[in-house]
Formats: sequence, structure tokens, C-alpha cells
Amino acid sequence: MLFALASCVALQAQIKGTVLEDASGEPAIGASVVAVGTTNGTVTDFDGVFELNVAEGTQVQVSYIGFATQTVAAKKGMIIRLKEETVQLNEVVAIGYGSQRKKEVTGSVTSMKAEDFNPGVKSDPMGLLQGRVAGLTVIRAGGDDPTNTGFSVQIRGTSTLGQGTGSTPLYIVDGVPVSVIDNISPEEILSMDVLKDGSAAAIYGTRGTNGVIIITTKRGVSDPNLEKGKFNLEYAGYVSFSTVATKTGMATADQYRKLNETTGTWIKGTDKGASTDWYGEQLRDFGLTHHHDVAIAGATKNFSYRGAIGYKYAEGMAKKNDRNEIQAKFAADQTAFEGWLKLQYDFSYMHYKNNKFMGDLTSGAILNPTMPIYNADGTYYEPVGTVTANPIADNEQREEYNDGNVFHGSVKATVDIKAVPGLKVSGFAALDESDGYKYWRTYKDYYKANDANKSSRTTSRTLSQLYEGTIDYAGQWNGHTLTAVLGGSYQNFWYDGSDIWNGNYATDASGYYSMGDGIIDKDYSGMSSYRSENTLISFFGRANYNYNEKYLASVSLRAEASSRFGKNNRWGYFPAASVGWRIAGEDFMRDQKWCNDLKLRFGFGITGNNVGSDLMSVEMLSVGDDFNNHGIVAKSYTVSQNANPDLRWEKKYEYNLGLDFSFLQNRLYGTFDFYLRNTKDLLWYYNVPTPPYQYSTLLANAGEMTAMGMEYTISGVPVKTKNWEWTTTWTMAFNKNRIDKLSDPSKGFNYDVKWCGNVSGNKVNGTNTQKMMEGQPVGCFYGYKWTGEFDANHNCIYEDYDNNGKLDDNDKQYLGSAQPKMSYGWNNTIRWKDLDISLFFRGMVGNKALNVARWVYAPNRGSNGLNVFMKDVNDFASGNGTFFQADFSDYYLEDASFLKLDNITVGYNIPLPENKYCQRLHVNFTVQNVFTISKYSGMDPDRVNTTAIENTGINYVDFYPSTRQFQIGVNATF
Amino acid sequence: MKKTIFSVLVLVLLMGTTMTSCNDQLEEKAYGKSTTEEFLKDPQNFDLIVGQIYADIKWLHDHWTYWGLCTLTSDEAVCPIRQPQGHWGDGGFWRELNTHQWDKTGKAFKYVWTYCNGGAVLCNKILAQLEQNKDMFDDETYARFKGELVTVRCFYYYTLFDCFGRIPYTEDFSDKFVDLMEPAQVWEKLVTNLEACAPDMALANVPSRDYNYARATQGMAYTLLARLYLNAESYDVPAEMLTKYDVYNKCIEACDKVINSGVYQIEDDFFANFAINNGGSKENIFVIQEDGTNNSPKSGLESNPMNKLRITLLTMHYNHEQIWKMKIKPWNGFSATTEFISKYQTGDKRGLCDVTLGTKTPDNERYGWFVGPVYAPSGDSIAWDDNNEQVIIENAYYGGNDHTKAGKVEDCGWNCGARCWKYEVDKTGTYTYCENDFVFLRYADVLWMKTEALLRAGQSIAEMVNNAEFQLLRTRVGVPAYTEGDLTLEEIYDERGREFAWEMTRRRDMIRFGKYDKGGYGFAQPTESYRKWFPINEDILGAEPRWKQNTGY
Repeated sequence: MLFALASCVALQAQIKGTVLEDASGEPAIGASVVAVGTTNGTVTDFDGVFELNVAEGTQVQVSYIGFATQTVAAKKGMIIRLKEETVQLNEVVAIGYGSQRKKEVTGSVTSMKAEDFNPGVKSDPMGLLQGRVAGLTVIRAGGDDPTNTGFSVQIRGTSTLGQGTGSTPLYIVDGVPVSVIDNISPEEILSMDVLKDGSAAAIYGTRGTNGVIIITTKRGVSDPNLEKGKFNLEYAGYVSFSTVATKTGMATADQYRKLNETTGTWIKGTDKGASTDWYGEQLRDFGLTHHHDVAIAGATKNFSYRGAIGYKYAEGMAKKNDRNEIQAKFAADQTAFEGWLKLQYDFSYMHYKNNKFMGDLTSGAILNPTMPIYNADGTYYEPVGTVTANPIADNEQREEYNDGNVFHGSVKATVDIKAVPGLKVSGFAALDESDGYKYWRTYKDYYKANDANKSSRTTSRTLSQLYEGTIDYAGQWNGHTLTAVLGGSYQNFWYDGSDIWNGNYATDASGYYSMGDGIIDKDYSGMSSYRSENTLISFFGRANYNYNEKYLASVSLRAEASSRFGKNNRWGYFPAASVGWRIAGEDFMRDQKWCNDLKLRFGFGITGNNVGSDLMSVEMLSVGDDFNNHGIVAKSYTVSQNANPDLRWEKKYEYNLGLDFSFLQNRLYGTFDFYLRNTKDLLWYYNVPTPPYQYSTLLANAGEMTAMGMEYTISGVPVKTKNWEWTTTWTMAFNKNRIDKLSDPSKGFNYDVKWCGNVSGNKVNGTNTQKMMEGQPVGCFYGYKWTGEFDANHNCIYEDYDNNGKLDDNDKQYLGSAQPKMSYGWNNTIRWKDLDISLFFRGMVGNKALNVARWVYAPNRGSNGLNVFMKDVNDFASGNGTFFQADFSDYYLEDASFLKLDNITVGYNIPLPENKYCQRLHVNFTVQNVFTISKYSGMDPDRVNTTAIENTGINYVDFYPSTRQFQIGVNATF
Repeated sequence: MKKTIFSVLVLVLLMGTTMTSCNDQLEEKAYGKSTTEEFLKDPQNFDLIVGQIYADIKWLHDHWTYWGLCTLTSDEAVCPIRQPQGHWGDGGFWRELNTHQWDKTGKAFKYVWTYCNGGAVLCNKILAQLEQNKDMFDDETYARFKGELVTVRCFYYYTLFDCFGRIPYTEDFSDKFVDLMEPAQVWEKLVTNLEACAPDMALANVPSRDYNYARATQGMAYTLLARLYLNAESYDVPAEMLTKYDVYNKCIEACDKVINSGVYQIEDDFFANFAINNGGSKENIFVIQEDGTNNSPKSGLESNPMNKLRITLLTMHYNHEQIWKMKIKPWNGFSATTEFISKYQTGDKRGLCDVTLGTKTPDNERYGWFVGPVYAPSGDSIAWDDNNEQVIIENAYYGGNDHTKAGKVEDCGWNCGARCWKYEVDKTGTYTYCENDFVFLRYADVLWMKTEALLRAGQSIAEMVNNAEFQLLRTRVGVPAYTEGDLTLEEIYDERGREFAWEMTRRRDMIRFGKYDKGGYGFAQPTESYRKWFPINEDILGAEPRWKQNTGY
């Protein structure tokens, strides 16, 4: 090396050249020009001209922000035309145990930065991505109850039968695998990277099957605007008002009283004289939510930090229902010993309190609207019939809240081994603790005497300890770039908790605070506690290689063991490999003006899905039922399951073919992905014979399933002028799955068909509406097919499928799929000077849903003690519908396709005169959940859960309203 | 670069060694639970393991299992779909049992199969553990455990056998395939096993009744034997075996063992056997000890309250809740057939209560069946139900709300049918479920089996007619004592029905007397004779295709 350098010096001469922007021909001002492998370099002047002392023919690298870097041979009078590059190509993408620039990525990874997130009130960071990432399904099933923070999240549809850890992706927050992410304030998130395919996720082994979402939070070093020696103060806050956006579709008291006339006495109400809106009485007129986040970030030469504190108050639409949240977070980075040692600290804490709604909106919807709330004497009216609770009294005279804390702390130390350039050794330790407390009580005067004056208190804790060691290497030589990581990881989780309940207190003052004051009684006093633990140990390695950013490759392997596996199957191995070809980097593409970037990539990876809970492979003695132990009633000891020492992870093989492109001066860009997933060793409870087994089911690995799909993300910039810019982005995802094999007769596991999609409630008692079987996808509705005709008694006439003259199980046929054919999102951002407007639409196409409420609470033929759906009544009146039908048929199945305008945001960057105090002031106004277009009769088609497995597409009875929100927000940097 | 390669090599080696050593870290820790080995370090714990064989019997008294199958397919009970709301539809399962049209999809068939076989596997497993740890126990303790385990295993198999005939009988604990055994062979196995272990079993009162309460005793073993012998023919035991085993004399012999043991006696009060506190009954031979509280530990893989006795809940009307201050609302399901009620003569306390009194029947007057008005909580007026009908329970079946329309199995009113009242109802609101211990075997049955066996063997029944306890069975419920001439087989059949209503003997009696498939009671139609055995549930055969379905299904 030294010798080579010396020879260069000998032959060097002054080379002069010009660097131009290819599209406009304008000079590139301040582009850097460096002789490859040296520190010998310069920058271009106002005319794009540079002078450099190198020998002719020397490779020089020309780089300029926003343009593709070029390496060319030096020549006198050379003119270098730089091609514009999408900024994103150089964006850093987190890939787990490291990062890559976007153009080097060979797996299927979608990287979302803060500016790509959904605006509006979000109960959990996943709301930020709802509809934004092709192939990522985010559903809020339970309505907008702020105390219920989670989303149902799924990447690329179903590829498990749900007996493992489910189908929720793995969340990695600042390097730590966690299960809860609602303690992260959206304002503190820098980026969220979605690792979709097997080749990207395999580095996470037994937790990779469902994909990985890597959340990186903001830190001092990640802020490009932060100058050394200075600090920034940022404020972000909003106030939001929510109103009810959904309708129950039930009759009002007046409509109810008129049922008789409307339906010619076929459907009658029981008039109790009053007029009560049981549903509306339990709701607020509007809900108030406000959130404030203050962050301070600063940097000195060797130290940078960011500290943030946030507060949030969110009211639910139901009375008494709200959530309080306070969060504190601190992240710091220290460099020491002249760069030999780098330390990274992260601490965060959240305290929350949820006040629960104790009424019942389902009762609110279905109670007879002519019943009064109060008796004549002012006491609460106690309904008789199917619903025996007065939900308004329930909310008044009962109380439940839960609160808890979430702690996170981690330290990472990285030693730069200067003896070997590019080699770094790191140690990482993280602790995550959370605890939760639930307090529940009924008051002494609770109108249901049997349940009055009781209370309970539940405590739960979880602790995760993570210890990791990694060795990183990064090297470059002659156009070859290699980065590699090798490491080991140990993570231990434990859970424990206890529950106590008692009753019969002298006064309401005791409640859950002084539970010993009650009188112990076997039927309503008691206690329980538990503890469990599991451990994951793994070793992993990955190497990423590229040649001149043209030929890319990546290989990885993780070996992982879980204490949940049977003792015959301790270790699992999860390899992956992917390759990429940046066609745009080839010489023959250099002159194609229309093409800014084009990359083809292919990946393969094996990922795992762990067993869903602890102690599933062994038989353990635990307390069983009572028996007479020779005069004393004692608890017997029993094993509660068959042991399976062969129990192990589900294994998914995934192939992914992808294309990334950017054309026409980056005015059209996007990504296509095609994938095929094949899951083997599916976990499932098999029916096994007794004898020889003691119990009739065994959790075992046998089945197989296949899923395939396509994802498209296409962005266009139809308008781009100095003052105007319009960017539009389409995402689309198609997914199909099929159960190939449920049984494995060679192992004695036989399974033909599993009826699922169980519906129970009111008049329906345990009816199955779906069938899982070999050769069919998950989520197929099976039942009678309605001919569209009614008999003389207005009952549905069903198709006699097997033509044998009677209606039986053999006439139940395929009625449709609960899986959408396509899901999509469409975002538009229009900027005019400092004003920007964005509109975001999203939706699903082609999925069937069962609106359980409409079925189980369908009007009776004859008298109705409960309220009725006006849709059914009106359908009956017009001859298109009927009263309650006991059998499940497509009469109750609906198309749940929808289009929703998720949000409209208007933002304005207030132009500020030059001042010492305020650098940036941005205000925005957002309307969320603007409108929904759908034929679906339920509360909101968006709440139909398509990520479930045995009951996908079944919209269980749930009347908590979805909300429409109006939000005003401010962001300021000082 | 060399250094890098070297350090990578070292690391790989390190990893290899750590990987093997971290297996200790991967052993699962079961806090609060233990392995059998740890548990048996204290021999006293063996009692707690053996206890599980009793805890698991509880399933059998549920309407979704053996009790439901026996009761609903005989002439004792119906469970029509109650209109207009279609309560007790349950996918037509009860309807099919009522009409004798059941098929192999019935869930109860699966439950009985699974729980009985699971119970037998459990007994075999504990027997194997007993053998392994034999030196922990003295000979007497060992023999007692062994006798108890074998008897309870026979009890599980007896129940299973009674339903299906062909069963996967095994006495081993292994993972080998067990084929179905033909009924005659099963019968022989059960008889042989019980004969062998009965003499060594403890008498119920040694050392005390409390000590052996709700557990297998010599009395239980001989009563089971008597049942097996008396019913041998109905169990498809071939003629040559009936002769070889001399079944009726053997039945008499087994009954005599129970009678002569002096342990049991007929209670003066029929209802004492079914009282909330029936633990003192000297007539009950084997009961399931119930815990009526809502305190339900998980048992088996499914956690539902099937291990709680719910007999009063499933028969009483919804409105009984308020007037009787029941802790939870009953379910208005099972009720007696009118044909069955017609067998009671006036004045028989095992029969109907006064139809005008209903819930006003004084607490100290007990009857076998409830009919009549259910009063509102205030007590002055009759309660109104959700259908705006007055709640007056009738020994009649009519359609929906229309008293003029004949009741159909899929259309009966809420008030139709007499409700079983022999089990005392808790009117203090103390218990969610029944606290009354559930009666499986009763001394009265032994006396009746002996009488019938004497008659069937062609011997004199004079000794029974002269037996004061036997006559007490009649006089205690207010009906005249029997003379020798009264006791024809037909009378025995009817009287057994009245005496053992809803006690799981009726189905087998009907089969023994050739009446099970003749219809003419409740909603039952004459059916094929193969229905005397139930079908094996299709899921069970799915799990083990080598097992073949019973004939006819």
C-alpha cells in the first residue's frame, strides 16, 4: 500500500475537470472529488470545476449529496455528469444487528421515517403505519377505547395456524426484542423498518416467521441539525376532539314501538312505556385528547444526548373511560479514548392509568328502548329477560382501573479494535421491566345484591434480561465492500403475578385498598399466584457483500435454543441468503437518462415460530379437583397435558423476488415484491387416541401451509415546481394461503377438518361458521347457501346441495373467504410554498365478514324483548329479508370491502424572521377517520379482524364506537 | 486479516463449548408445580396422586356426558327445544337423543370416550408408579392402593362399556396401540378383575365411613359386579358364557356380599340420600363428593364447569331463581316424560308435588318432581316470564305458547314437563352449583338387583318380601308394601324406574327388559336395535383410524 502510494506521488500531475448535474446541466457546486483509497481530495467551485493532483488514469470518486457517486479514471479536462439519486437510496435502513444503505439492501425491507407516518392520535406506534406499508396489516379491532392500546398486526397474511406465538411480528426497539410498544411516544420515533421476508428476518431465528418491525428512537447523534456545543429544545403537542363515527343500526324507541305496523305483526316489540337511548346515555358528547412532548437534545465534541418527557390524556367516548400516560426518556452517546470506546445509554419510563368503562355498550345497543333507566322510586330499573343488567347503573356503581409502569434501561459498549481496521467488539445489556395493577370493585349499594360490595386486586410483573455480544467488521478493497457481524445472545423472561378478591366490607371506604377488612367467604374470597420463566439462547452471524454497489449478496445464520422446546429438539438452525443486482450501476445503463435506479433482488430464508407458552412439552403435576383424602377434603395432584419431548418450532421457508426502481429524474419510483412462503412443522393440537395417551389432544408439529403474494409500492411526482409539488403513493398487497397438510398419519396425527369460526351469543349457541381443511385457505366460511327465496313463514330456503331432499351437514357449502383479495393505501401530499396538504385513503377489497351482532340479535319472529336491527326490519318490510334464522348461511354474510379516507392534514410552516429563539414553527390540522364507503352493516368494516386464524373475518359483538377526530397540533424547535 | 480469521476461529470454538454448556439454562423451571419424581419423595403424597382418579370421575355426572346420555335416551326425561327463542337447540344434539336419531357427531360420545379412557389410562399410570415405588409402602398400604386403583379402573371401563360395548381395554401403561375389545371379552375382564380385588378391599366403615367416603370400597366392587352379572345378557355376552359364569346366581352372591357386610342400610327418608348434606346417608354406596361453590380449578384440558353438579340448574325454570333465592338462574332444560310420571301412583312421594302449591310446597314436604306455579319473589302472585306468560309448570308438552297444540321435540313451551326435585335445592343462595353429593350407587339398587336375579334365576323371592329394609323402600315413600305376587318382572321394571329416576340405571334397565328400541315414550320412535350401543364419535376414529365404528353407524 505504501509502495503504491509512493509511486502515485511520483507520477501525479494537476488534473482539472468539471462536475455537472446530468439532467439540468447546471454545475455541481461543492461536490467532493477524491482519489480512491487516499485522503487526497478537493471540492468543486461555483462553476463545478475542480483541480486535483493525481496521475492521469487514477480512479477518482466523485460524490455529491442527492446524486449517485461515480468512480472514474482521471483525465485532463474531464466532464463528469452526475445522476440524481433518490435521497432514500442513501438512507440508512435498520436490518437487525446492523444497518445498510437502502441501495445495498437485498431483503424485502420497508423503511418508514417519521415524515412517512400517519398523523393523528395513536394509541400505539403501529397506528403510525396503518395502511402505509404494502403487506403490513394493522387492525384496531375493539373500537377506539383509549385504554385498549393494542393493534392486531400481521405481515404478509397468515402463515401459521396460531398455536405457536401467534402471527404478530417481532418488535425490536433500539436493539431489544420486546412484546409491548405502547410505551413509546410517536414523537420520539425516528424510523420504523419492516423486515418482511425470510431472508431479512432469519437473523431473528425462532421469532422471525411473522416478520420483524425495528423501531429506532431519536437520539442526539441522529439529529442532523444539531450543532456541536449547542442544544435544541423541541415541543410537539396537540389537542384533539373525538366524536362518534359509527352507528349501531338499532331501532329508536319510536321505531321499536312501530314494529308491529312496519312488519305486519311478524315482528313485535314489547312496549314498556319509556323512551331510553341506552347506548347514547352511556356516551360523552365528545372526547378530549391532548398530548405534549418536550425534548432537549444537545451535543459536545464527545457526548450527545436527547431527553424527552411526554404527557397524554385521552378520553374515550364512553363515560368514565380515559387514559393518562406520562413518559420520560433519555438517550446518550459518549465517545472516549480518542474514539476507541463508544458508549450508548438508553433509559425510558412510562406510567399509565386506565379508567375503565364499566357499563356495557352491547347492552346499550340491544336493550329494549322502551325500558326506563330508573324505577318510579328513583332506584335503578333492573331489566328482566336476556339482558338482566342496567348498564348505566353498572357504570355508576362499579369501578375498575388499572395502572402500571414500564421501565427500560440499556447500555452498549463498543470497542474499536484499531489494530484491525473496521473491527469492533460490542457488549450490550438491556433490562425491561413492566408491572401492572388492576383494581376492581362494586359499591355496597350496587343494585345487584349478589354482586354488591366486592373487590379484587391483581398484580402482574414481567422482566426481560438481554445480554448480547457482537463482533462487527467492515472493510473495503478494490470495489469490494464487506460488512459482517457475529454474535451471541441470551434473553430470559419471567412473569409473575397474584390476584386477591374479597367482599362484604363494612363501608365503601375499604374497597380494594384495605381488602383484609372484608369477611372471608369461600364463594367470593380467594387468592391465586403464578410464576413462569423462559429462556432463549442464540448465536448468529451475517455477512453483507457488494462489488461496486452493483453485485450484492448477504448470508446469515442463527442457531437458537428455547427452553420451550421439547428435550429431543433443543437447537434450531435458521439460515438465509439473498443476492441483488443493481442494474442501474452497470455501464450500459449509465447513459439511459430515464433510469435513475434499478435493482433486482432475490432472497431465501428459514425462520421459526416458537411454541406459544411455557411448559408445553412436559407433563407437570399441578393441583386438580377436590377429593376425599380419608376424611379430609384435599386437592388432588394431576398432570394436565400429554408430554411431547419432540415439540419444536414451526419452520417457514420463504422465497422473495423483488425489484426496486426509480425512473424519470426520480419522478416515478417504487418497489415490487413477489413471495412464496412454505411453513412446515405447524404447531397444532392433534386428536390422539386414549389409550395409549391419557388426554385426547397433543400439541405437536405436523402440518404444512403455503402462502404467496405480491406487494407493490409506486410513487409518482406528477407536479414539481418551485412552489408546487404533488407526490402520490400507491401501496397494494395481494395474499393467498392454503393449508397443504393438517395431518401426518406416519406420526399418528390425523385431522380431516376442523370446524371453527365459533359463534355464540343470545340465540346462537356454539355454531361453527368456518372450516379449516387440507387444500383450503384459512378463513373459509361454510354453511347453507340461501336461495334468495323465503317460504310461507318467511324463513330462508336453503340450497339442497347434495340433492337428497333434506337439509343436513352435507348441504353446507363454501360461502366465501374472510381474507381480502387486496388491501391498499393511497397517499397524496400537495405542497404549495410553506403549506402542505395530505390525504390518505386506505381500504380492503373482496373479504367477506360475519356481523355477529346482526345475526345473534336479529329480530325474533313474534315478540321481541330486545331491541332490533332496523336493517333487518326494513329488509323484512320490503320483502328482502327476514327475522332471526337459527342456521348459519350466507344470508348473514356480508361484503366487508371498504374505502376509507383515513386522514386529511393541512400543515403550515410559519415563515419566521431570523431570530435567536425559534428556529421552526409548524402548525397542523388533522381530521382522522373522515369517511368510510362500504356496504358492510356492522360498526366499521375496518374493525373486522382479518389477522385472526380460527375466527378471521368474524366481527364479534362489539359496540364500542369508532371515532372521528379533529386535531390541532404544533411543532416548534427552539 | 489473519488476526481476524484467528479471532473468528476462537469465537466459533467458544460458541461450540458454550452451546453445550448452556443446555442447563434451557431446562424449564416450573414454579409452583412439580415433577412426579419430586412429588413422590414423600410417600404421603401418593394419596394425592391417587386422589386424581376420583377428581376425574366428576365429568360423568354431567348432561354433556354419561348422565345425559343415560337419562335422555331412556323414558325418564326429555329436553325439547323450548320456543319461541329456541333454547336448548344446541345443534340438535338433545333433540337427537330424545328421538333416538343420534349420529356419530355427538359431542357427548366424545366426552365419555375421552374421560373414561383417560381415567383408565390414569389408573394404569398410577398402578405403574405404584409398582415402581413398591418399596416405599408396606404390604397393606400397597394392597389397598392397588385394590382401589383396579376397582376405579373397572368403574371407568364399566361406564365406557355400558355406552359403547367395544372399547380399547388395557391394563398396561405404555405407548402401544390398543385395539378395541369385543363386549363379551370386556365383560369377562371386568368381572375377573373385580372378583379378584373385591375381597381385599376395605369395607366402607373400616376404619370409618368418613375415611372411605366417596371412595372405592368393597361394597362398590360387589355392586358393580352385581350389575355386570345381572345385565350380562344385554351386554351381548353369549349364552355359553352366561351358563359358564352362572350369572344370576353370581349376581345374588355379589348382592349378598353387600347385604351381609352390614355396612349399608336403607334410610328412613328417601330424600335423605339426595339432601344438600347427604354425606351421612348409609344407603349410598358410591357418591361423587361435590363442591357447590363457584371455585373451579382447572381439570383436564378444558376448563368448564362440567365437574360441577348442575342437575337442579338444568331442570328448574328460569323463574325459580328469584323465589328460591338460587345463586344463579336455572336453565329450564330437562324434564320428565308424561309416560314416566304416569307410572307413579297417587301419594307416592317420589312422584309429583301438589299441582296447586308449586313453590308454596312446605319445605318439610319433599317430592320427586316439581309441577305447579312458580311464584314471584313477593310470594303473592305467580311469576311472569320473559314471554309474558305465567309460570305454571305442567306435566304436559304443548307447542310454544299454545296449550292446544301438541308439543314437538323442536317446539315446546317453557313451562312444559315435570322438573326433577329429588335433589334438594339450595334456597339460601349459598351455592352456585349443587352441593349435594351425586349418587352413583345406592344400597336400594342392591336389594332390587337381588330380587330381580332371584326371579330371573327361577328362585323364590320370599326372603326379599320378608326383608323389612326392602319393604321400607316402599313404605318410606307412602306406598303399600309388596306381596310376593305383586313382584312380576314388569312391576320390578316400573318400580325400578320410580325408585331410580335420573340415577343412570334406566337406560340399561330398558335394554335388559327389551324396551329401549320400542319407542312410545317422550319423543322416542321405534328404532334399530343396534342403537343399544352408542356410536364412537367420528373425531375419535379420526385420531385412531385402526379403530372401527360400531355396527349400524
